[in-house]
Amino acid sequence: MGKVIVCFCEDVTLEEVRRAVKEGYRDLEHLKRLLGIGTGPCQGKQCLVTVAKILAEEAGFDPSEIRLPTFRPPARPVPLGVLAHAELEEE
Amino acid sequence: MQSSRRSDYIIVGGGVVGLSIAYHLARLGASVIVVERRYVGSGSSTRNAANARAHFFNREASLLAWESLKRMYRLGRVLGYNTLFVRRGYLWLFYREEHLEGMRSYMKTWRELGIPEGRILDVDELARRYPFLNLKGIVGGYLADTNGRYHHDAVVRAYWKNCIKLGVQVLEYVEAEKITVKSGRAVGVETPVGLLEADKAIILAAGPWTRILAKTAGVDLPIEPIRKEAMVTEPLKITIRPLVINTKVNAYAQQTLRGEVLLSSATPLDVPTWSYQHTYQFPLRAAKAMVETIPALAAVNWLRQWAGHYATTPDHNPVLGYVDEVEGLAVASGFSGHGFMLAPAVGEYMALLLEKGYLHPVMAPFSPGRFREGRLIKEDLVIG
Repeated sequence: MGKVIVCFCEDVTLEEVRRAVKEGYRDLEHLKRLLGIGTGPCQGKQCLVTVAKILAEEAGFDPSEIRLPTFRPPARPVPLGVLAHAELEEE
Repeated sequence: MQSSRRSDYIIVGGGVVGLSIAYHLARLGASVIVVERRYVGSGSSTRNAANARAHFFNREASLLAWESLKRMYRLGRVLGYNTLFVRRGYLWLFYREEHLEGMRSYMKTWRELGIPEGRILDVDELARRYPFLNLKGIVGGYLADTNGRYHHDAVVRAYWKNCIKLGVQVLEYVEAEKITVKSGRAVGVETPVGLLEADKAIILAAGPWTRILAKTAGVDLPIEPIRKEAMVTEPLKITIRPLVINTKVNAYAQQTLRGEVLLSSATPLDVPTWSYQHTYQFPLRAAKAMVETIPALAAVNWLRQWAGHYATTPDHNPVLGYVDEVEGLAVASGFSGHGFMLAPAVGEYMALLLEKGYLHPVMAPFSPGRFREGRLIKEDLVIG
């Protein structure tokens, strides 16, 4: 089998995820920080659930035990200029 | 779990500070257990902006930071794991003549301390070197090119791997609940997996949570969890080399090692809270400040914002060393936003204090007792 890409933004392969789990990185946060999964333009919307499932299989976890990293704004990329010209209301 | 529940030292907090202390203690031959309530690095160690500087506006912090920066330069080689340090420099932009003059005169202090003092750049030189800057209202800049950035996750992993190699037990998802004190001595840490006993000392390196744990031993440390926010864009070719600081509104922008633009700004919502919740006001404020400073940023896509803590003390300087009230209890916290960059030196000095009884003169001014004794560290210069 050729390369299987699991994170399209950062070009991370299935093999890289498996190898990292074998090395002892058994937390999505650690995999994210080691491999860069979920840090590209989609911010994990395409890859994190897939990687969670791979982690569960490789490490023998129940998928429901795996915590996903926090999802944060924005929901999709926004140019800084749009923010810079927004009205800023302070309470 | 077959691992031992007893060791020379128990360190609470698996962030870079706790791991650096653990690494240096283990190198001196001590046995160490590190307990971390979530995953390794999960507090400020994964949320920080990954910059290191030597230049602070008081002598005590500058000396400690310089010692740490020198260690940061060679950390990758020492730990055998690339920590990706680059000397990108810090560029402060000034909007008021008196701030520029204040900086010019403070450079003498750094020189006296043996710290490379950097240099003042006039507006022409700023325009030449940094064509992306909007110089409107700027009277000059100060460039400290000894300073730079590291990869925070790589640094944490480097310490973590070395700790494991040296036999340190690093327990993730184990929360320290209470310090057990017997006849005036801290002897153990209560956790959901049982009591962890320390033969020599317990070290609190738990960021702002240090205060809560210290309280269980009857010790009050003035450390507040001030929320700070940051945001990041899509990656671009590296153009903005130094960390660019807008001193008018206390905001900054820089590029990470892979080119994302990382922005931050002080906001009125930097308040004490345990929450890591982001605010909608922060990205508006940071973008406004830094698009004004670097207009081309207007076209760059924002991808993420997040929040972390500055574990802040009354004098904005760390709390390092044994507490006076209880025997065998030490602290390394209250870094007020500078813990990561100080971790290499602090880990070494704390280990010397704990294992050798040697209080390094560079660390001595940061004693926990200073707040009670009224020996706060004074800022010599305030900019912004």
